[in-house]
Amino acid sequence: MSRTRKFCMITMMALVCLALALGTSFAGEYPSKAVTMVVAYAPGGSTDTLARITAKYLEAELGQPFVVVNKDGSGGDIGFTALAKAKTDGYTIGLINVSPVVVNPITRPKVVRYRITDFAPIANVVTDPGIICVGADSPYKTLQDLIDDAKKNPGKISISHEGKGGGDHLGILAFEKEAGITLNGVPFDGDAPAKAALMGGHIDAMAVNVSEVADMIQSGQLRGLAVENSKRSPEVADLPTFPELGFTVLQASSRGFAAPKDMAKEQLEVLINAMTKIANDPTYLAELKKLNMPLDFMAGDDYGKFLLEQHEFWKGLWEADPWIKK
Amino acid sequence: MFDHLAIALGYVLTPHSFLVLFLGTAAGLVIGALPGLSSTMGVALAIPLTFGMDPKTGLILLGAIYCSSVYGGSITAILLRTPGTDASIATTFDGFPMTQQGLGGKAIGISTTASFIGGIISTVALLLIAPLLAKIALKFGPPEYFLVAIFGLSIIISVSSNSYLNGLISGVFGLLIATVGMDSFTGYPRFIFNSDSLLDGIPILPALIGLFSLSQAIKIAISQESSIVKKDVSFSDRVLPTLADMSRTWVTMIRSSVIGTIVGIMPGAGTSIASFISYNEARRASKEPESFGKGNPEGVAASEAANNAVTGGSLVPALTLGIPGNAVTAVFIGGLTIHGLIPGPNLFIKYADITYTLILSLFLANIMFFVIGIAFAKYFVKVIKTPTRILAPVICVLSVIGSFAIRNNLFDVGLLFGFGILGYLMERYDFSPAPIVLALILGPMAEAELRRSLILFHGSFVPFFQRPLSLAIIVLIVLSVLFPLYKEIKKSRIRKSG
Amino acid sequence: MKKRDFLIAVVLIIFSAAAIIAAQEYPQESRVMPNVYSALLIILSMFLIKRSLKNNEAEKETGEHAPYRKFFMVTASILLYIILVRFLGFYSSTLIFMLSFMFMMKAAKTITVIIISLSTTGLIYTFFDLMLHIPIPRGLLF
Repeated sequence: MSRTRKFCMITMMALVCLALALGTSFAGEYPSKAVTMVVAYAPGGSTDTLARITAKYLEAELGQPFVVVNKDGSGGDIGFTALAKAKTDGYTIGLINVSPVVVNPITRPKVVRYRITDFAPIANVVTDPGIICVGADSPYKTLQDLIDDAKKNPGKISISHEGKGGGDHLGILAFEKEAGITLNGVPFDGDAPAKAALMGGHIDAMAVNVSEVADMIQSGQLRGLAVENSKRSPEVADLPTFPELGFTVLQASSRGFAAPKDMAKEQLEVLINAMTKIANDPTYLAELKKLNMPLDFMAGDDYGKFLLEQHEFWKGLWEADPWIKK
Repeated sequence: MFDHLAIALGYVLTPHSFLVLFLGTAAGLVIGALPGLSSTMGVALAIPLTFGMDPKTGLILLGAIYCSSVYGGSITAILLRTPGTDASIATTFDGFPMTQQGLGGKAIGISTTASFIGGIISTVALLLIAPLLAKIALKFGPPEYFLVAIFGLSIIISVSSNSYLNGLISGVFGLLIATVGMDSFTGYPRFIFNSDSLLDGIPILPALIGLFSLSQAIKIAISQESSIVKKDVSFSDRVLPTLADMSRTWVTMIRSSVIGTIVGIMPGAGTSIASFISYNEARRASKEPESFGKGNPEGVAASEAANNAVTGGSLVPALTLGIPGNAVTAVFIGGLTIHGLIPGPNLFIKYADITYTLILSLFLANIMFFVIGIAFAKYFVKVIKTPTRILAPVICVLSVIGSFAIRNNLFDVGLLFGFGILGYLMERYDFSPAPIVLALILGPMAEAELRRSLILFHGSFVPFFQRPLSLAIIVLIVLSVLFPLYKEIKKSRIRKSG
Repeated sequence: MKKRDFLIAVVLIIFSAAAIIAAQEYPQESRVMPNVYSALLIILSMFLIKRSLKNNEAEKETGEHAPYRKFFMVTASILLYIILVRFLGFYSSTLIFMLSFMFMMKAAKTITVIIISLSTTGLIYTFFDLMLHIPIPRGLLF
């Protein structure tokens, strides 16, 4: 670690401590009762696991239970809407996932009833790249095998994703476009049923995030083909990235915490400070590592800036060439 | 395996583990019996408690809560006709009539024994043939899930024995209101009337508590009777099933345990589907199907053996593949990963001592709730001697708090009220409320899996008949639906001509 | 029997028709199943009408008169209770509901009613709030 970075870290820690002290004195009792944590995905998935682990640390930090409530379905929209429209008393926070939380309001403005500006950012924790994988006994050994077969059998190869317009689905669309193929996308409610369908040979391939399948790839239950990221993932280091194979498909899902936008500044501050402290806790980092979740910490305004950038990026892409035909 | 088991046994048989086991079982019983508090919630709420424990102790606690909460629902289902969760709906069909006939103690004895046998058989399966079962689980794809949902729905015909038309109307009405909520295939909300609380669809538990518990509270508050049991009924305090009871029900218990285990291993199916299918099969196999729904102990045995057999079954894919069999085991997996145990093939090798501790603790949890259930049944049964005018407000209060606690949403309490009145009126006018709940549980599954299958098969229905497993389920459905119908029609013809 | 089934069928047909109309604006794919169910419900209701017309037996009174007054009182008090929960919070409204309901029903001796109401509320507090940490609605009063 360079000296400047060390200095920065120490200053940051000091500031955090100061802010924490100030924060607690301003916010008085907050939180004085259990805080609900809305998770827009089913129990057992990686967003849910991240929520439950972080809840444990938040509880230790703030002295109140953080109760995970799963409101899953519709590629996250149900949970995101619930969070955006939640009471702003500080006792409902939740996890938001980029890209869905950014993309859904752009592509389906009439149906999706929240906007990215409806959230007050707390902190991003994890950025988890997308991956295409197949069953362990699949004929596709490499991404090229899959492309070759898809060229011979257009629209015949089935690939699961987590709902239209979600990150997995967008990754598939970008891949299809660049490789000049058509696949048969099948939406599943959650990773667990999709994994079971892939392992049972009911579908041919699966678009998913690295953390959700890294263990299964390591143990040989599934086979990864390529990672949708600019650099390789340490959990599955032998897998090539899409750019290495000559594609530009980049798709990652970022998971972070947010609150409904009108929550009191003081309360937000308490949560941001607590999250910053947790993100520097070595045992927390060790747990994330165990779960194959790459830390990508951005707090408060930084996170807000990232969300807006993502919004602009996807909006530009959508307006140039909409990927869902009406 | 045996040396691991021996090590695990040494760990489980300590006073400390026994205390955790006892507390978990007791808490699970209460959670299961209270309306709205499901096994999933019980396990999820206990997970933070396990953080401070070592993984083995934590897993003993979770296992005990899981097993006993599934059993706990049967007590109130039998005595008050207020099932705690959807797992025990089918238990009410015959359990409550038995109570009304003064056989509440016997019904609890049967349900406790059946739950015990179901739990033990599925745990044995988990211990001995988990990898094989996991392979079977993977054979189920979208078309098979669709057919399993249809199989479950076919029980509507069994539970509406007094009028098929009324039963079908309830069922189709249930299917229609089950389409409320966001359609995850298009992202379009259906029938939500601008209510965010309906985006998820009509929540099953508030509807269930309304249709069964609250409507029951209204009914007994209004009724002239001062107690649930008619006054002239003699009371039997005997709880432990007699040899005659056992010889009558053991086939049902074992058949239902097998069905429950198989349904349990399928990711996405659940306890209620298992108990519905088992109830249906018990009725079909019975020589006197018309006695079902009127207090046949086999009905109680079928439902309860099956829903407890799901516990072991649902842990099969969770432990061997890392794929949760249902919502409870998903929370279980969350608990495992938090302790650094990654479910999958490694769990039985790398962390074998912990895995076998969990399996062993499931055995002990089943024994524990059996002992507690039999020992305390005498006192549980006293509940029905409580005057209805005291029972009614208590059921109301528990229904309100239970339906609120599921999503912390007061909207759900409003739904509870609506479904409570609907349930009361339906029963008054000879429409059974059970098909509505059945449709709420299975309708969304049937629709999603059908559409998923059709996407996979490019719109063709032909593959449904080409896949061996799906063809087998189709044959089963045809047999189980058409055969009883044929028998009834023949019988009514004979009756008419005679 | 006859008139009642007829009325139920009419209500169901109106309900299903409304569902079909409401579903018109949905995308084709989302519309199929609701329309199938609505159509089925209409067909089944037709059978119900047919049955109600065919059953020419005199309307059998089930003996017990429909206890409308009592039904209204019971449901109204439950509704009031649910509304109270929103404003007063769960515990105080539960006490009020249980006390007034049991007094209204003349359920037991005054002292028994008070003891039952207090102990039910207390047990719920212990179990839900203290042991399970489930957030219970709070209002003006505790």
